[in-house]
Amino acid sequence: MNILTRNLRTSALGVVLLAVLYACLVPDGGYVGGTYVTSGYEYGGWGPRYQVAPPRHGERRQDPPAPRAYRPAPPSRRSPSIPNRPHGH
Amino acid sequence: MSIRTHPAARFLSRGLGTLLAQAACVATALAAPLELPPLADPATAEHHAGKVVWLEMVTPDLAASKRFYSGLFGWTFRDIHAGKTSYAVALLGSRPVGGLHQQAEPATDRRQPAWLAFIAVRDVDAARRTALEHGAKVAVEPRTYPRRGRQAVLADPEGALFGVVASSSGDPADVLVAPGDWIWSSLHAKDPDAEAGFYQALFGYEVFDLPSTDDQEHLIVSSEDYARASVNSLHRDSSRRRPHWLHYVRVVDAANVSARAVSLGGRVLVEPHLDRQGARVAVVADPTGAPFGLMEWTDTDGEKEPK
Repeated sequence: MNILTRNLRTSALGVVLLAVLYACLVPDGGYVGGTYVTSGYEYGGWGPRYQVAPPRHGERRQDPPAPRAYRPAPPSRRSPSIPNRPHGH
Repeated sequence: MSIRTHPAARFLSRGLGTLLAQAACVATALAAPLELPPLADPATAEHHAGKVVWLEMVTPDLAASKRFYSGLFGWTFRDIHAGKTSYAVALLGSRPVGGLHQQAEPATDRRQPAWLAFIAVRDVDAARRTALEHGAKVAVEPRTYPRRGRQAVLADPEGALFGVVASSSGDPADVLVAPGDWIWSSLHAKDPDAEAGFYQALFGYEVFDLPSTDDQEHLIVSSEDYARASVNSLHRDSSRRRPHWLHYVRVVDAANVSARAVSLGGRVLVEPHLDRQGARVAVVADPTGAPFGLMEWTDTDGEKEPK
């Protein structure tokens, strides 16, 4: 009887502890108190060819690409740029 | 002399403590949502699906982050408290430009503060469904915030995190932002093609392939005829790095701001250099390790016509 009670107690405590861990841990991002917690990533190591900036209006495009996973904009369309309208206009 | 207690009392004592700890965690998790600022104030009828409209970061040291961004961009901060949550809205002048949330957990090799972008959608729940159909995962289920609207956080098929938000006050206007505000975003992915296809399905983007001199893919995604972000290959020697988004603040002098970032405790990850068609770009990290970009952009840049 004592062994059974002890096992039950241990199991109950284990369940409670697991529940606590589940409630408290944020393994890969999530909301805590209503706010998002990001998880990180390794960074760095970019070379001199790092090119990310937006194009200017009308930048010419490559030749029509081979079949892609996306629908390319029509070849006649030149690449757009970021908004250039000042505030208040 | 030792005090002997009944086993049941010991169990109850331990169990009660554990339950209280659990209740505290659950109560925190279920706390009233933060009163995040509206995305457009005064409210507007404008909606710009696919536009990055808000950025948020978790920092292990809110005070240090405030000092850094205040010194670098002149941001001021308005504190919001909800339960034990410490959140500061960053302001450029009177305009909210982002949010900082304190989470006391030190950065590690596998866990690092990062800026998280929220992209405008009309319907967060519909966006969630579409994203899941195209291979995404839900990081945070949709939730409604007073004055802000409804938002969720997703991981794209390669695991890059981003948020979606349906603003209840409309979206910020499509104008050229002032120096010190967020101006651009880039996605770095193992398979830019597939990622562009995913985001096209989600936001209805047009996708433009740009000429490349480095044997890497450079795509531009746009909506309403405005470029919203670039999608780029992770470099081949970057097998240990995860696909991710990076966001850029407009600056007047990237070299000067990079140097100031270092003097404020940050570090330079990518030295200032000329990027596509003359835009000078740098990537820095704040003192907590959160990376972000700096990008020069002059008022007339967008008016240049091709030769």
